[in-house]
Amino acid sequence: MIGGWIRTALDQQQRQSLAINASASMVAVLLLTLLSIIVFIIIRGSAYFWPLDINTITYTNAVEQSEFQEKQKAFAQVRAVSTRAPALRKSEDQELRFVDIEPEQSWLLSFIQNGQLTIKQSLLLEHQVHSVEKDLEVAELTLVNGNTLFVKPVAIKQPERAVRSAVAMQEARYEVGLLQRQVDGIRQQYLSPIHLRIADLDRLGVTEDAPARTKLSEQFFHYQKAIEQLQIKVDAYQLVVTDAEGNQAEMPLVDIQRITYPNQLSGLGKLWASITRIWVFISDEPKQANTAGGVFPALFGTILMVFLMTLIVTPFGVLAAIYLSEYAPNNTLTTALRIGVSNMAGVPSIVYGVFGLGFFVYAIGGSIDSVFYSNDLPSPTFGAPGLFWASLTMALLTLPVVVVATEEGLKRVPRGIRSSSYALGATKIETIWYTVLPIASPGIMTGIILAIARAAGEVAPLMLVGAVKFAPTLPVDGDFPFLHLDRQFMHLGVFIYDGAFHSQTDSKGSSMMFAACLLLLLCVFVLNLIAINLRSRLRKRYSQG
Amino acid sequence: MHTTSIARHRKRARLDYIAQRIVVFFGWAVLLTLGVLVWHLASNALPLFNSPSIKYSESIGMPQEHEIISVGDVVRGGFIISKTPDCNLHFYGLSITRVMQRLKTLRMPCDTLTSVSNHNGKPYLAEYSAKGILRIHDIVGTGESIELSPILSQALPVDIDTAYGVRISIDQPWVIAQYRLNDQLHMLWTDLSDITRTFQQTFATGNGVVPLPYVDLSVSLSATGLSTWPINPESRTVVNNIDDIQGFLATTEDPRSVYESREQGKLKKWSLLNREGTFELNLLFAVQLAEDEYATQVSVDASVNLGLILTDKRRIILFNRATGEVLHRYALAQMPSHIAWFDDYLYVIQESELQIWDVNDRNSTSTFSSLMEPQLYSGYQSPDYIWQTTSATDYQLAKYSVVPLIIGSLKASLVALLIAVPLALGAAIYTAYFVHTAVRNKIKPTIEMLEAIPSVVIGFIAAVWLSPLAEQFLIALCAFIIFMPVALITIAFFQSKIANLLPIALGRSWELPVISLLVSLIASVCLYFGLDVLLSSSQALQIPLSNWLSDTPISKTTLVVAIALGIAISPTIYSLAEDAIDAVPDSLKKASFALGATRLQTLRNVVLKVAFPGIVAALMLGFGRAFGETMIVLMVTGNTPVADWDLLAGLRALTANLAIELPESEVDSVHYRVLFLTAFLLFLFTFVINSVAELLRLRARKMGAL
Repeated sequence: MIGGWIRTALDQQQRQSLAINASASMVAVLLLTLLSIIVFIIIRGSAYFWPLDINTITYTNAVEQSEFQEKQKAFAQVRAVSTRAPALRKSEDQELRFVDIEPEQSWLLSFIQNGQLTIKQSLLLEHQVHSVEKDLEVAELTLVNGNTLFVKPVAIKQPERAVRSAVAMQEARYEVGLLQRQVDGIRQQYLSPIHLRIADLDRLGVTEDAPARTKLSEQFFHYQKAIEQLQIKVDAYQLVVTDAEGNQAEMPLVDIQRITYPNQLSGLGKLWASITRIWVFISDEPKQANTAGGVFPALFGTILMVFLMTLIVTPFGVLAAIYLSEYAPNNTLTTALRIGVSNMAGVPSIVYGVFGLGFFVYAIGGSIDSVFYSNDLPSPTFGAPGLFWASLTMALLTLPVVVVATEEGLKRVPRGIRSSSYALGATKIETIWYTVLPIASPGIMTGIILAIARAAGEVAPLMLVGAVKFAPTLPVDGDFPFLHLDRQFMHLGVFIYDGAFHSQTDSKGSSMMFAACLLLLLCVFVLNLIAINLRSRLRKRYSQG
Repeated sequence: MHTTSIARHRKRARLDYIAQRIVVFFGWAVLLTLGVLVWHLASNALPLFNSPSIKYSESIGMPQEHEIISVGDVVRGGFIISKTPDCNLHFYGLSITRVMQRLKTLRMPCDTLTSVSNHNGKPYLAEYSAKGILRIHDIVGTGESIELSPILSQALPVDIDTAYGVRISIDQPWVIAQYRLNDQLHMLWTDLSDITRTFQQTFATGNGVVPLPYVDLSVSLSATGLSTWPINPESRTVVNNIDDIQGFLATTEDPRSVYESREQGKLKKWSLLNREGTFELNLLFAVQLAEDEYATQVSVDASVNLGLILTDKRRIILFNRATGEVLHRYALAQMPSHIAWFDDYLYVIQESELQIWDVNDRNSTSTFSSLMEPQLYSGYQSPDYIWQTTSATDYQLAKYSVVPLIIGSLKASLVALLIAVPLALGAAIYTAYFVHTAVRNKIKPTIEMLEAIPSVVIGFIAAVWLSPLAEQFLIALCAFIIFMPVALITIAFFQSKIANLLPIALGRSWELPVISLLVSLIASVCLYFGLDVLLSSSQALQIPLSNWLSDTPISKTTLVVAIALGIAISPTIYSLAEDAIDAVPDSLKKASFALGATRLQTLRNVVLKVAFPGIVAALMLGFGRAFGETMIVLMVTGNTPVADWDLLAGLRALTANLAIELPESEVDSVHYRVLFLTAFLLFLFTFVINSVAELLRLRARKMGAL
């Protein structure tokens, strides 16, 4: 019907321009989608790093509706504005409207209650916030446990000295640092050797009252006391802070990891503060149930898993591709093999996860346990999801990527080059090793990089074979055998997946997840761009051959 | 010199040979891997379709002249309780050397009636003394340290029917004692947590009444049917109008259902349906027996949906207790005096012999019908597709209907395809046919970057940002779908006139930027004023739009997941379709132009026809990708398994279901196997789609080579 109408209404040329414009608009939609996803992630992700101003707001609490509400004051940061969209509701006249809901702001409020420093997130409607001011002296404290506080530092208390003003903060923190280092020094230099020796005595079955042991425990108590004294000194360094209403509280200086004054920062200063935050994000471990701190274990786990996967998939994929391109006879079986490879690329990734869990973890891992780790049973060693099985599963998943890319690379090596090599008397493997492979290396690299990019972004199978939302230990540490292939690990993708569930309510956590998305997207895009460049270079190099 | 050179040549030849072996090995290893993958999935899934069976394994002699009154799981440390003519009770266990060994003897006066009842595989002993005192004991301990621990003692009338004895049923908190007095059946309910709370029910009948403690009522069987009798607060129920009929009525550990065999040749399962507070009995299914056969005993398995019937024709019948399908029949040589079933072992007492039978393939109870067809489950009013794999208690049925999952997957991927196809094909036609190669070489890799975005990121954006805005977004989308064509047609009207005014040097380079600008303009207008525009235009056209829209929130629905999924798969379709269109030989296009066809005519009549198989292949591969996508459907939907094609309802896809449930399912259980079956189905589905698409592409390539 519409087609007929168009045919009568538009002439030949107009129809053609309609077709061109319609198809071009589809390209535009796709490009705009890509652009908006990237821009969205970049904006929301980098917002996590950019230091926000701390405001002093007066507000009335949302819970009470009475007229005599007390106005409260607090230091606060806006985390998100109007997360709730205008809702589609039927109004009284049964007309559908988007009902405008009063803009809601999510504030992070920091105040002192009964001498306790607290922070809470609260949603305030626009009319509940009465005034917003900016106080230059308010500091943002990042605590060692990952919490953030907004307070105004007033003074510093410390042992054997008069109370100093907060200006001397740097100096005091330096002193605390020195004391802390002394404590650590004593622990490492004296206490831990004593511990080791006591453990030795225990193993040898030396009695409680043996002279060697009493001597050791005397030493032990001596140093223990020294540490305790230092600790008391450290604890005596207290920061006196006030909140917006002027309530005072004290907190140990040693609990503070970082202290910034975002309201005093200039544009450049904020940039520098963002860079430090990016560093913390990449190098620190997650805190407060994956809503604060950094993503180091997840990044590390992703990289380590991908690295192991590359070690497995490269020889396998490249040799299989060499077979297909150089050795395979041109018969039905080879066709079956090719179809098999192209089909493996289309198998849903979760199926590899199922296979990895059923075959690698339960079947093979279970057998390894019963043969080599029978002492530890029933607690599994390799019979449970872990790093190695995840790498192996991912290697299987990315195998077709490597095979196809490598084969393409090998196909593009001109026949003449092979013939010349044979003419010089080289055997087949010598021809491949010394001539074909070096020329095809960009193709192989392309395949490997694409495989890495695919593995870095793939999440579903990993959830079955070893990636977890929180792992207490890294898969690499100082204990023999240093690389723990049986351990579960954290992965950026799983981290984001987990974050999607609790971040709808917690905007602070969600901006951290956006930062994690940005990081993942950055890794995957950089890898893909390298692969595309390599491939186009390879195509150009031998396009004439 | 010469010899070393020969040696070197030999070494090189050997190296060449070894290298060839290694390369060939790895080449075939790929196929081997695929084979292992298929084999592993199939070997874990297909045993599901075996049928459970019982097989005789061994016989163990029992002491003579003992009357067996209870059989426990002797292979795993349980015991058999027997009674000798001198009225003493004996506990027997199985020794390591596989002979019956007496563990303990209890002296009993001969005027004491004893009976043993089992609850959840645990025996309880009831003794009724001549003075009318009923004592119920828990039997605790194993081996030689078996002891009785009293849990209840109660006074009953002294002159009860001793032939009938006292039969007890136990299900926390109730202990129910059944006895006969003056040709009436009495049922005394005692609450163990408060033993002063007792209820008495009296029935004017002999047999055919059973208590259902879980729902506080008794069920009676009469010629007219089954009736339920709640224990009532007046503590006394008297039922007189029950005629004594020949029939079989039994309860099992399944707390909400009864089995009844009133008609010969049929065993019916009834379940309680809670209809506004009152319970009704609802017929679930009938197991077909032989013509004149009665059931005499029914047992069910705690963890799988398997049931067992013993009939008066000495037959043992295994059936699926969800569907009523008979899975295995076995005729015994003699009528057993006692049978007891514990998971893998079936104990049959025949004369003075204990036979141990193995129950094989217990985890294969599922049948095609139980997976694919709607089933009437206990507690439901009508047959339905239900996926509910975890149950609150043992003996409750796990419901494995894979239909909701398949519908979920199909629903999401089909709608996603609907969104992706116009986008991807339009874009493919544009870049492969309408624009210059230089532009194409820039646009194509850019669109392919969309494919590189990890699906977890798309899922995250859709879940955190899109789904709260879903209503606004969907309305904007509707408005966009309506207004974009209008705008395009308007432009088509005036384009040539405007283009003639523009300097020719601008060429076509402005086309895409202008269109992009237009698209973003229309999109933002739709986003902000979508509803107003839609409503006012619907009023102008007198379409009652408001009636169709509802104000239910639609955050995590099929439509939202389909949009995210459509965006994820469109670059795949685009890339393949673009290749197919681009592969159409130039000579064909030129021939068409030479015959005077316009670009549009050539596109329609030549290019799309030649590229058709390739485009279909692209669509199929895109569909396969959408079907197998996990993270987006997992994150954006609420993962509720409903068998509903409604686009505003939630869904749970096969893939997401695997990600959610597989880590928690026990290896080799029915659940594990059903999950492997779904994985195998996913594999087969994508395998078929990929193979067909691959063949189509081969054909397309051949056509292109013409």
